[in-house]
Amino acid sequence: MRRSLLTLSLIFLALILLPEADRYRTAQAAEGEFNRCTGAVTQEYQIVIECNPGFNTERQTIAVYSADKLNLGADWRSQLNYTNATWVFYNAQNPKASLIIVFSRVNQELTAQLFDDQNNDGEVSAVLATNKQPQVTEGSGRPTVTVKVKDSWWLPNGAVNYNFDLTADGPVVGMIDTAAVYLRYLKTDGKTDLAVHVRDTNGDGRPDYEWRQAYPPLSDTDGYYHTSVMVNPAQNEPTPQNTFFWPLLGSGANDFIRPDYNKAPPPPVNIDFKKAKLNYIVESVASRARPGNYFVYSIRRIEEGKLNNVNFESPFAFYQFSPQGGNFPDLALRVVYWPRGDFNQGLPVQQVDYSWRQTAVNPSNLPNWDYRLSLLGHNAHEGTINFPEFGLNLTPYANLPGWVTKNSWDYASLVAREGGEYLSSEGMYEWATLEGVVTNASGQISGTATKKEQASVSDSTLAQKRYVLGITDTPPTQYYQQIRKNLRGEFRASNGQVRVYLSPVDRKLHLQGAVQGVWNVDDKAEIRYADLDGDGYFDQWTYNQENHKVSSLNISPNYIVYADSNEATLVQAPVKPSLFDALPPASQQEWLGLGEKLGANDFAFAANDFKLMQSQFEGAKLKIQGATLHDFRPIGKDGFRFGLDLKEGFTLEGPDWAGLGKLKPGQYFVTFNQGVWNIEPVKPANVTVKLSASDFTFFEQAKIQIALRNDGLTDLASTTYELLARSPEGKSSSIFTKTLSLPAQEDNKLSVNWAPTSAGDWTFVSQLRQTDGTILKLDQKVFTVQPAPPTGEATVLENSVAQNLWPLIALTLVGFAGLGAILFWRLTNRKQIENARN
Amino acid sequence: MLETRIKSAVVAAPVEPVVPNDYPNDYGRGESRSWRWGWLGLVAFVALIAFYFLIRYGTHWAEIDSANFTQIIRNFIDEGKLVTSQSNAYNNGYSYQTISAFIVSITGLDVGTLQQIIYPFTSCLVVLVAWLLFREISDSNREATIVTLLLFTQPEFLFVILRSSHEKFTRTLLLICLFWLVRSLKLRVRTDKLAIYIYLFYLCAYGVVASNNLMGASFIFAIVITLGLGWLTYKRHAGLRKQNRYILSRLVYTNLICLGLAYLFTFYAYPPALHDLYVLKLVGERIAALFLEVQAKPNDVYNQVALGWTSLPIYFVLSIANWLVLASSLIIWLRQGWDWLVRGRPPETGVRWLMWLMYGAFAAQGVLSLVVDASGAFNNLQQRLFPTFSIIAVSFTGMWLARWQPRHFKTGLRLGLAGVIFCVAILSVLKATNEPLFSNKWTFYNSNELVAVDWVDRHVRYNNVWTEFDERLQAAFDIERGRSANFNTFTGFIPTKPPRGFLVTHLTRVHSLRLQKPVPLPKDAMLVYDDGQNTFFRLRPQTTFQN
Repeated sequence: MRRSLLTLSLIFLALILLPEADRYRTAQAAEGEFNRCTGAVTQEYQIVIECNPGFNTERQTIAVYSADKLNLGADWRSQLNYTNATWVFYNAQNPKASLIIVFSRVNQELTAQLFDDQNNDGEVSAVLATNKQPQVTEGSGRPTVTVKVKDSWWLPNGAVNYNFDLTADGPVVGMIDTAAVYLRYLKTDGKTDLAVHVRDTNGDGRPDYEWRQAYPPLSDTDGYYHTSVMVNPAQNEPTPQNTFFWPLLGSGANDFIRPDYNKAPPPPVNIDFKKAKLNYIVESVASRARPGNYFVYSIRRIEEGKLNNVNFESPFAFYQFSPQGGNFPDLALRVVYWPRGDFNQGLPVQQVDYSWRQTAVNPSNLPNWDYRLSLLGHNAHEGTINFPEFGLNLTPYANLPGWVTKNSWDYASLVAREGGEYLSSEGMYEWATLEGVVTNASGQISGTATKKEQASVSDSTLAQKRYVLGITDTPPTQYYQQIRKNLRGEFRASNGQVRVYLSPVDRKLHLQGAVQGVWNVDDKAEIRYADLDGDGYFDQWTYNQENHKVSSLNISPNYIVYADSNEATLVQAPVKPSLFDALPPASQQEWLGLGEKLGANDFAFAANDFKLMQSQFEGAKLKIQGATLHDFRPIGKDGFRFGLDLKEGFTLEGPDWAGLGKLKPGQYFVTFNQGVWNIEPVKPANVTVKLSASDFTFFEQAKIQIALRNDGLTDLASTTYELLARSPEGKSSSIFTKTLSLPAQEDNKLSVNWAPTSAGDWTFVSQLRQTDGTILKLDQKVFTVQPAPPTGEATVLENSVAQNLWPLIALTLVGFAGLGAILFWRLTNRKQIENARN
Repeated sequence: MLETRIKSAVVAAPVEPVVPNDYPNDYGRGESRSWRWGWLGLVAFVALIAFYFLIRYGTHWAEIDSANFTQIIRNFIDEGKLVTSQSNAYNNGYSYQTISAFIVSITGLDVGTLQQIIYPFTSCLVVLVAWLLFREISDSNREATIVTLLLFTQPEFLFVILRSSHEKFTRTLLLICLFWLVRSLKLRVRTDKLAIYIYLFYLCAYGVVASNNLMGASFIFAIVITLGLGWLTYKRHAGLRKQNRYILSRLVYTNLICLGLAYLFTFYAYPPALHDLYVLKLVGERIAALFLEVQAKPNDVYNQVALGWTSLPIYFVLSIANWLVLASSLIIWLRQGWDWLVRGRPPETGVRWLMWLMYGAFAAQGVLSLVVDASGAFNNLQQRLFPTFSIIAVSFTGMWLARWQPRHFKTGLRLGLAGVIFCVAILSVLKATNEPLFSNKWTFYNSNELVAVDWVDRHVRYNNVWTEFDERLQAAFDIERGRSANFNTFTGFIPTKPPRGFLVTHLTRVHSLRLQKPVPLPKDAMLVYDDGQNTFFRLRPQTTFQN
């Protein structure tokens, strides 16, 4: 072994002293190599090439051991052998091989076997065999990467043949979870860990699609990514540059995912020459870095020759709508898809992430995003995507945006960028609908998220899953409350097609049907949105500074009401709920159309400039100085009510529709309903309760209906309702507790299932526990529980056996017991014992 | 003074040969020839019990372990490999499913029939090996018959051999294992036979491990304790030293080789058994938590006993055989210990001394199991270990009973004891069969309940269906039907995932009243099936995902 290494080292030293050869270009090699490399046919079976600089190294020497006899007089460039030769790559000043490629041909199939350092000694061990060809001994002679191709590495037109099958056996990264999950388990052991298949269907030298199968040493039922597929439907994939003699070999890549949108991609087989390690199998077809590509990352394995149900990112597609878009996508459409049985047993489940940029020109070297819709649904994919080798049950690429916009979604969120940049190759991440409510993606990705943020993500994920599994019927609305600075988030809890609308109030695109929203202005100030009348459009804007309410703007069909701590302004003007409604853009035409409408209605308000927003609407205006307006709520078709605290010296300016001028300072409850104003002095909250239920039977579940009403004129914002049951024996137990709000003049209906544990008269006591701990006792009610039918031993016996078997059962019972007793009787017969002894 | 007396007693005591060779043996020397056939009566006795076990519920019995093993056997047969891909693959061993698959293959029996109807009768085979073991211990056909009779009046032992789980074979293999151990200890001259017996012992020891790794580990641990006790008492008396020397040297090898077998099984033969290492780690952690953590909440297994029976007095009456054997064997063991360790009288045979040591070892395990159960790592370890302990304990009580010669009221006492056997046999069988008059854990079902389950399985898909306060109907469905045709899950107890469907049978309502637990059925659930006795309800879906 040592002698062989010495031999190889001596060859290397001899090689670096060789004279420089002529330079000219051949069809088989790229210009770059010949510009910096010189070579010579040194022996009948050997070419030596020296490159200065090397390939991501200072200097590099390559020894090509050809199995075919070489012409010593002919130019070395025309005799480079990629079919029956061994190429040994040496780094500068280092007599150690850092890569060995063995090219061979069997019939029409060409094979390249790539050997790297497997035992971490910084070299690829080999010996010179008797036929003067190096024989690799590294890792028992097992290649780390093997590539097979039909006929030639090049097509007849000179382009690279992107119809190859590659297998990797060892610690080489080629899937999204390789490094994180199983790279440390990968060994060059003769078992394929990754198979990559690349196809160029039209023979233009550009790869059109590829698929990868991972075979890590894990159970096939483990949740790693089994298969990935990358597709370029436009068949315009750029070809790699910086290849190194062999067109599939490169160096310098930092990941297997192609990162650059505007640079030529690296070749698929990447080696770190300094470490003598093959480290990445780079995408031949970009998953993300092309604006018209799509990919699939599936945990379910795709089986060749079959039509497959795939899951997880199935698909993740990119679309370019802007005519000025450069090489960047304007829409990133990610479908996290779980076919029926994967998540919910009866339905397919998916989260759709629909990120798009509405500005025409991308400002950076990564896509910048303006909006993101996240949709939770149970829609099956429509159609199939067929490749010659396999099929996928997925909506075809061209139909996918339309599939999203035409379907209904169970709940949805919208995130809008209100400042700064949002650069990402995958779209926006915040406020997902199935993968947890991330409020600050950069914190989650960098690992700097606080424990509270992490807990919120895991809690919200659980809540989302419980909804999808049918465990609860309550959407996870409570988790969509916070978002990072410069983002605005809105959440819709109801089912329906997803639409956006431009509000005439703030001229921003909002999510139709959203019940709540928040814009984090600068981590201190925020705008909260609410749809109080439930018509699907926001009608309340609240500006908070460090969690304290500063001002608000409330919209009713005919009034716009501004309020801050010392002023209330009512403008009488009709307000449309939206300037326009639209589906999210699913095509270039829709994208351009939306852009035009947004441009036509564009007006940049400061986040908290509610007065300016109010001033857009012309009409009679009542301004009340020295007053605080609070608890605004819509009532009826076009009415509303609010609390009004008039301070000493308050003044009115404008028409006094409600007759406020006659009032003395104090607290009032103002109602406007069906064109009539009404003002009453505030009365404290007065809560009543009515309990009702059907008949109660011992141990039978019964439903108790609870009707709460606040007849006062003061809201109870947060109070805890408790229902206690006192048994006929006098024992009290709590059977229901709920924290709720009880607005003035409104009902709140609840129900609870309960099964009495004894018969007789039960007394139910209702009470409200206030936030300060005081308890407000409500009415009591007595219900009579009927006794259950008797169940004695006879019933149990009757139900546990067929009647005609009773005699046999009794006989058997006595039979074995009697037999046991007789056996014992006979065995302890002392006379018999003594007789036997004698 | 006392020391001098003991020493003189040792000197005065008859000393056995240093290398006693009490084999080959003429079993039952001086006994009636008819007692050689005592085992036949025992087989009839157990066959009648098995018959009762079947007809008590008209063959409609089911319990969770038997149901699980039914599924495990089916998966094993379907996939044709030891380690199946199913989530309920049995981690602790492969013997039971292997033997069952073999029987199914050669007989063509349905797995459910094998489990429900055929296997209860295989308890008769256990009689034979138990009788052989006790004959080897006592050298008497008569004593072996009495001891075996007592063993089969032990309710815990009866329960595990009547139902259809691995324990049926694990206990049998354990008895055979002990048989070869005792026989090989008795034979020391004929090395050819000795080698065969030792080989058979290790073969059976591997069988125990392969049947249930944890029980195998428990058996090995018992031998370790036996060895420890032997070492502790090694130099107590010259007589004991002689008995101990050979036994201890054998037990050292026995321990090492059995540990080696368990290691091979766990790490090479059956990798799923690695899971048991986690179980053992958990036991350690829980015990540590029990003693070290102030807030650790001990597992109240004894309260569960009270919940499992209509009343605690009834539980104690039905378990009377356990208490009688436990108390009597303990007294005898203490008395023998006093005689052998304090008074210096040597045991009659090396085997008797070995049994004395093993009694101590299994009793020590029983005490440890109390701690483990209290820690919450297991909730029935004590229950699992007691049948093994009872195998040793009955030999003490039975042999003493067989040799007891009362001076007065001989016939009356015989008659009384026969009467006790009569009553205890009935009580123990009632306990082993979970007689619903006394037990809250019902292990029977009606055929029309299964019809209702079938209807539900045909008409709903991918549903989680509540069926009972425990696994009664779930086990019945698993044994008789196997997997759901429509991917439904039938659950009992209060499931972690709230069900959307509720099957409420007449028996479940009766059970509800017995348990004083309301059926967890919301009032507004929709009734979609009613056959007069059994009903099926579904919750009204509020979202698409709840359909």
